[in-house]
Amino acid sequence: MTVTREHVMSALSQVMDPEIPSLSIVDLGMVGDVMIDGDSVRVDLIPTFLGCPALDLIQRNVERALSETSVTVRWVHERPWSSSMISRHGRQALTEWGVAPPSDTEEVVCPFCGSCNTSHQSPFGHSLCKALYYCQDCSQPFEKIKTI
Amino acid sequence: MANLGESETRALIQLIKPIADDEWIVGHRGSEWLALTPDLEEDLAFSSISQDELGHAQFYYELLHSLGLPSADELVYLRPASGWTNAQVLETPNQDWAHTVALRYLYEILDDIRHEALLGSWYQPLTDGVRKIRMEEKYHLQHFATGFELLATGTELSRQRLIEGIADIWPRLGDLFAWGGSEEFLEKLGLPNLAQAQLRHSWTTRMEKTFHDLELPWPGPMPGVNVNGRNGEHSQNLSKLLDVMTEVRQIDVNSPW
Repeated sequence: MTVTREHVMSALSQVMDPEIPSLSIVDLGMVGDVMIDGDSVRVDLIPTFLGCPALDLIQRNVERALSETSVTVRWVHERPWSSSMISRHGRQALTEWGVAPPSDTEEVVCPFCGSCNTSHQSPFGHSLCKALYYCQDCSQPFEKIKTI
Repeated sequence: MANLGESETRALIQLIKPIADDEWIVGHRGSEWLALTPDLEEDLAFSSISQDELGHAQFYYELLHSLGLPSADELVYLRPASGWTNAQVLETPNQDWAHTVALRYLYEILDDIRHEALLGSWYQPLTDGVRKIRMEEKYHLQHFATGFELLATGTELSRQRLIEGIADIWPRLGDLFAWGGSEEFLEKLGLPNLAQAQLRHSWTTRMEKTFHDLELPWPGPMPGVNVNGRNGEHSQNLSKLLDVMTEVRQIDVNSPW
């Protein structure tokens, strides 16, 4: 069987972030090089945060998604992950899930009501990659992906 | 990856192991605060930071494994206390909150200096990870710097507790800056900024500024190395910590955890 790049990318885009079911690891920017040789596939994954407890699970899910091929998954560190690697589609998926995407400016938009009248509560949310915010207009606490 | 000679490999292990152990032990002690910190936000923050520290340690343990040491799991769960090379002060059991904030601020400053210096290494698997770690550690330092300042400028009691915490920690800081034995390996690695004298100097300079800005009394001369955790010299505190940490695994060491 010859594996195509389209097949691999399509399988990888079905591997979701374990906490945000509409956000794929491709949109999250975690997929680095993909090497295909016959039916052997090597997928390089870029960890978002080194201490993220979801990394093992994500690796297993990638292996499962490509189980019809002979797949090897490597965690690579040459190019560190940054929040700017999240795709436009990924940012949209985050907002729809109620998590504000990372921002370059101080302005953080509430994912629930779209207001910019928000305040930073803590740089630490319920997971390593998120910070806590509060919307003054809809009185809703929410999380934002840390800008790193 | 470049083929490493035997002496380079030895030097890298000598460099990375104490850093890995420091990160693991602060991460573990930090995890003991879970549900006990002064408020809910702090609980979230500290558990997040602790998880991150354990992740950094794991990265270093995997690097050590690639250099020929046992696996990360074995290094963490099967090593006796005498095999650990963390600084002794870091194994101190948690006391009050001010004591922990003081210790962590003093540690995070050193960690920052050390990580910055590590970027000068020629060993790319190390610098790749360190670059990433620095992006994450920035938040840790910021967090404990804020906590330190809040206690110093809060109430009379918070300031007093902070000063007492610092006074307890200070005389035992010696081996935090030290390495096990000779520092020749740093020359081999081209990392002169990590020499003990250099680390002490950089750390003291930054600390003096903080103490001056917050009008805190300078705790006295920098202590020498009385006991060196880098050589496996530890208090009973570490054995107790390891007993607790490995308690579940000890029930059945042959289980596939």
